[in-house]
Amino acid sequence: MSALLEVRDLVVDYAPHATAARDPHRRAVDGVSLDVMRGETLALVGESGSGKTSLGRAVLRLIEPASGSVRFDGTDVRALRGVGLTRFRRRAQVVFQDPKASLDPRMRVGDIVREGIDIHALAPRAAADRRVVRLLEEVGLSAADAVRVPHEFSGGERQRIAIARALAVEPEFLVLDEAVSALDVLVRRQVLDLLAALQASRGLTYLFIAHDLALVERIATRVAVMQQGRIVECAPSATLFGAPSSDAARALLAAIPRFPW
Amino acid sequence: MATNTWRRLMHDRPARIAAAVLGTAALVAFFAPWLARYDPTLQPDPVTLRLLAPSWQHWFGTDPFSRDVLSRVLHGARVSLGVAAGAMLLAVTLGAALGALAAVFGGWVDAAVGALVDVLIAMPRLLVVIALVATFGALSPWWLIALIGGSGWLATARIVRAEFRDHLQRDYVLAARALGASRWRIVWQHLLPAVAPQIAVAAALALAAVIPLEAALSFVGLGIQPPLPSWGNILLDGTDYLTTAWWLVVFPLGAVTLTVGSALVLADRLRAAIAGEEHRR
Repeated sequence: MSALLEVRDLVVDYAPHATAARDPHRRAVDGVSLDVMRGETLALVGESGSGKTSLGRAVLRLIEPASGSVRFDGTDVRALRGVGLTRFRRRAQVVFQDPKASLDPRMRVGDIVREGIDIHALAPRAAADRRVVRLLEEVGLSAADAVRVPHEFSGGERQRIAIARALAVEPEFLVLDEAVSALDVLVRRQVLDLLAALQASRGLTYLFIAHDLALVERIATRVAVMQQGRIVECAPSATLFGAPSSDAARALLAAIPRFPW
Repeated sequence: MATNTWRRLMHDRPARIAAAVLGTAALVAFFAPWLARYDPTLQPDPVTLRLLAPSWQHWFGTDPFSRDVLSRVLHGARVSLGVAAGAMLLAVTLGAALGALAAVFGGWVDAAVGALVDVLIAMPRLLVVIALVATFGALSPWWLIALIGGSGWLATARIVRAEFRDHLQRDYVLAARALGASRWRIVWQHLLPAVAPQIAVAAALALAAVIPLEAALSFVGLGIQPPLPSWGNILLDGTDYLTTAWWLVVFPLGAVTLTVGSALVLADRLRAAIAGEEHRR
């Protein structure tokens, strides 16, 4: 397996223009290196404030890192401009934690899903409509949902809309930033199953960000544990859950409720 | 959200009354030549027909020059509201554009807009108008619109900048950026619809500020020049007869109060509708 995403010595400051940029306490990400292999799910786990969201946004070029390098399929993401950046946007997408906040409440679901198709001019009008319907069905919604607005849907359904929007541009790589954390337990399981099915059918690579190890147990190929802006442990899922080597991983494991059956 | 805000507003009684008043005023202004029974500048008999109290012939009475006050107030609506609407549109367009630019580009653009705002706040508007009148003579209505509108965009710019900056942080804008949306697309597709109700509030407040400003300028003789009637200079004609001919003051003043009050009510109810909508979500 080859690496789709290679991150080296990445540093992200909270306030990029702050004078305190050299202050280590203002660093959200403090020298992180990691690889995400093609087709795998790398779980990025850590307590809140550990820098995982900043890392996810920096690899997508949604925020500018202070230093370090990000390579996506061999190309330097930080150097991308214009057409190159647009092309990268098609290949790497994101699903946020709260679909209430991540879906424009004023747009119809069909237009939300369609936005990426329009931006990248992927299909003429009628074909785009068909594509939107296919995407909605692929995530478990129906064609009739296209004319409704986000607040008519439940949390889980909204997250499905956000997933359909991300898939519309046919990405290879998805940053799932706490994508199931806000959902209740049953819905969470359904969305995780959907994500696993999409990964299998579309050959997707996931960077799965979560604050709770329990969430990633079923879906992660490997797990990276983040603490105070650094990666303190990165191991295959089985290894990490069986014999964690870092205190941070042990603490996160201890936080998983285990029921005596 | 925005569509719901409008729907909420349409079901709000004070807002509907205020909108009806403003709509009626706009219609009156537009159709003034057909509604007025007399020529607003005609002085039929300055000796026997001057300062007549309201009657069936002259609902609002006549002025010291024997002109029909109702006809003058109706035509005055045309001038006063025309200038006010033009100045308001100019102010809101400028304010929205500059506020949006400042928020979207940040950096030196933001600093430049901020500096411009500071300069305009520091500049006394009335003195500038007096200086211009002293230099160029009386100002045409178009100049008044340019002057009032060109200096009245500050509040709108501040509101739009703050709202844009807030929305730029939100996940739905981040998602649009991740999809590859251009700044233009984000502004037109997402931010402007989101902020439209707040811009409407700013527009209503701008209207409420601009109507009395035009009236004040005309009242002190710096705005609309006689014989062209505006609510401000009708009042000016009436000041000498305040104790003897109340109709010269009450009707133009009432017109200003009614339109400004309606604009303020509309702004207030719109704000309440926005807050209600945000509370519900």
